[in-house]
Amino acid sequence: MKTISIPEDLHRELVNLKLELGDKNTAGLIKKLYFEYRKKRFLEASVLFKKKLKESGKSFGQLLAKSRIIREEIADEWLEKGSC
Amino acid sequence: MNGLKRAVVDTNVLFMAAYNPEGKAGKIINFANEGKISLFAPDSVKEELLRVLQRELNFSEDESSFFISRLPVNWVEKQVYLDFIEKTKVKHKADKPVEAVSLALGCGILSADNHFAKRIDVNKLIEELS
Repeated sequence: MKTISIPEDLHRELVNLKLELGDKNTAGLIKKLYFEYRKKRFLEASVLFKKKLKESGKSFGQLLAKSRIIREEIADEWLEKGSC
Repeated sequence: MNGLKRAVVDTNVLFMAAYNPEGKAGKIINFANEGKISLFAPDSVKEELLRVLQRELNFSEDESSFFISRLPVNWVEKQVYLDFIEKTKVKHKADKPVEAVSLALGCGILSADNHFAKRIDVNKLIEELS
């Protein structure tokens, strides 16, 4: 276990939140907050992806088909004929 | 790894998750973000994502880096899986890096393509991790 120093008011907020969410300890609460942060980060990427896809005028199926072609292209560049 | 479940994730699953975060692929990404599963992919998948985003969706370099950095994926370099390429059974050359990583790590594959022998049943996995 490691110890971190945080301001008293933040400590109070975390303890209140821990009670509100029913977490057994603050470590569990921080873990939960971290997971939520990671999920939010992914959702931000998803929003950008959908915006760009819409702007491109392509359907999702068309995009996957293009991805398949690009995958073949990378394999041709990266994998020597002899290695396959 | 502390016994944490591991899987190799294919490009199509990552795109599906981004397109529909509420769907099955999105759930897998959420499990990875919750630390319930570790996802791995070859660097060729990362390159595929980058080229598709930049060429087909007009992502800038910054935007594609932003997108890639938000994927809970451990990228595996070619040097790690190269020796396993010749042991792969999948027919298509382009799919070999994905199978090679699964052989190198000894884990299954999450893919929408059904030609992988070590393909994981997504429904079962979701049930297991829920």
